[in-house]
Amino acid sequence: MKTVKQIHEDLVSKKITVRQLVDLSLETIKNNERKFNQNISEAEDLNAVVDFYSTEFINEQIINAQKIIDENKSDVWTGIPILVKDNILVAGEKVTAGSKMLENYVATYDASIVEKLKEKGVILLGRTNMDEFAMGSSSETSFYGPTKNPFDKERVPGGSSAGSAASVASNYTLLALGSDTGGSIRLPAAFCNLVGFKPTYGSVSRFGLIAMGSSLDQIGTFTNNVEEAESFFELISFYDKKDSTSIPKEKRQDINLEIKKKIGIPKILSDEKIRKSVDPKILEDFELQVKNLKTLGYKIEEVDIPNMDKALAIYYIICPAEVSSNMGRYDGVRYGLFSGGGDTIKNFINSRTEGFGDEVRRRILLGTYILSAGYFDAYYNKAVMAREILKMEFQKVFEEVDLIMTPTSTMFPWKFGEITNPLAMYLADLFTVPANIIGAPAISIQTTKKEDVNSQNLPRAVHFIGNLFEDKKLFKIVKDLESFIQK
Amino acid sequence: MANIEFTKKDLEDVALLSRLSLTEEEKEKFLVQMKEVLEYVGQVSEMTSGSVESSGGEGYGKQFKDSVNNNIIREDNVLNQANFYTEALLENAPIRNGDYVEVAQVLDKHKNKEK
Repeated sequence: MKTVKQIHEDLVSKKITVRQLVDLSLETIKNNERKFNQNISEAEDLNAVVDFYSTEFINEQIINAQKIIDENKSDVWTGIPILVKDNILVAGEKVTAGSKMLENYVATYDASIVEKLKEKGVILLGRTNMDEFAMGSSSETSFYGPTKNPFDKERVPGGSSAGSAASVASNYTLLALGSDTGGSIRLPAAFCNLVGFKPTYGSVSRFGLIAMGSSLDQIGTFTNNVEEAESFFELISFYDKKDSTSIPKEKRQDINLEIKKKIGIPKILSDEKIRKSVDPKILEDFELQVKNLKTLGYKIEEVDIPNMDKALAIYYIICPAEVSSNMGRYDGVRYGLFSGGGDTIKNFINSRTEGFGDEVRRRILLGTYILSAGYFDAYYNKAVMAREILKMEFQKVFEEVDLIMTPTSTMFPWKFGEITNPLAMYLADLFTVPANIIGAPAISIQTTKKEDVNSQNLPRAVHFIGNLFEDKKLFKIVKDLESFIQK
Repeated sequence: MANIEFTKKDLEDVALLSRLSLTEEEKEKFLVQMKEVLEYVGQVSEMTSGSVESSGGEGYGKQFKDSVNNNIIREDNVLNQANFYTEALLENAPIRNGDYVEVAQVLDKHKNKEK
């Protein structure tokens, strides 16, 4: 399979046109998705793509990209088709967040990163399936039905950015956009044998991303390799005055590229209780990656982050609290689903009850409870303080080590319907959530070559957390390990 | 994990505040599931806060925090051309009446008279 760089060279040397490239992608998608091809049985259907963007919009983009290439002004990503998680706004196109609530909603403006991608001539092909409003770890909460894992269609692809992961794993496109609030990029990347990258909070604009947990949400990518995650990050990382949490360039800390060649493993990974909650085969593979890094000359140290195991508890206070406020805007009046039949209040209740699925309603209820007068101090204020404690604990450790290393998930991709208890599913994110709590960049990379992955040998992954704004250092070290694994 | 009290009455109150309705079956299910989550998140109360409070959380990503925690304000000006978004926004309204968004009646003449 060709890399983005190779395709870019083909585009520049006119071996291939943008239209041919787009047609190839569309054909691959149509060959795997029942929605577009009735010959695909339900069992074979991947259900990764919700819909293509309008033909006019795709054509317009092809013409624009080809023009940029013909004028020799192209970037490495110019003319390359990508897919977009269905919670990122493209003006004039539908965007549903995987919910019945927004089934017929048409975006009225472009997300800031979409504006940038259009300008660079990156081709946006369509929208990918996801857990409803990005709440879920398996895609089972999507109003449009679950996405399947391309390596075993009886298993979940991970969530919430499920369709984006399954798309790249099935060669629909070389990259897909996702969003990560507690692991929603890194978990599906691990489950679909890809590189999933969540940048430092504030480095990629959230303007035009449908909000879930605003202090945690971050747009990121799925790619086949780390280099492509890095070069795309450079494209979408800029200051945006439309996002009040976007970090101005001058305030982004000097990128510290000095590498100590030290990787930290959190002490909780030797805790017997934690180890019992992780699949033994995942721990076994983790040890192998530790060995690989040692071979590469890295020093591996145990580091103490005493409250790391509390991150998930902090998360399930802060996230629902923010969800309950963010979901308040869906009232069935200005946009979204409307179910009438009563007075104003009754109409609100009817619209929201019909429009939201179980997981969304559960989190709204939890958040409303947590933020209610009697419990605000006991839950929300405690969690905000705990978040500061955790940030300080990580800060101390980053003075000693370059990165922190953990497994990505506690479990392998589970079978559909296997986990019905919400808390049990939340626990799969034990290792990914801390990065969102502290705002740090984090990446999950596959540790098995793609050709060796199948339903008998499920994808394996390893996860790294970097210090704030040290995304570059994260890439550099992870590339070392990647080339060692893939050689 | 702390034993917490989360009653059916609490759930019903919160549902009303959230503008959601639940069937009896859903209430039973959500009550158990939410109680479990609330018990789990209760562990944050075990974390001590003294050291952070005294330092004001200084240090970690100072610039990051300055930027994130400060209010970002701008002039209250209209930046787009007049009516630029009007049609697109109205098109998304569930019930549109010309250039208005239609909603259910808010004031009830008869009720007011009774009072």
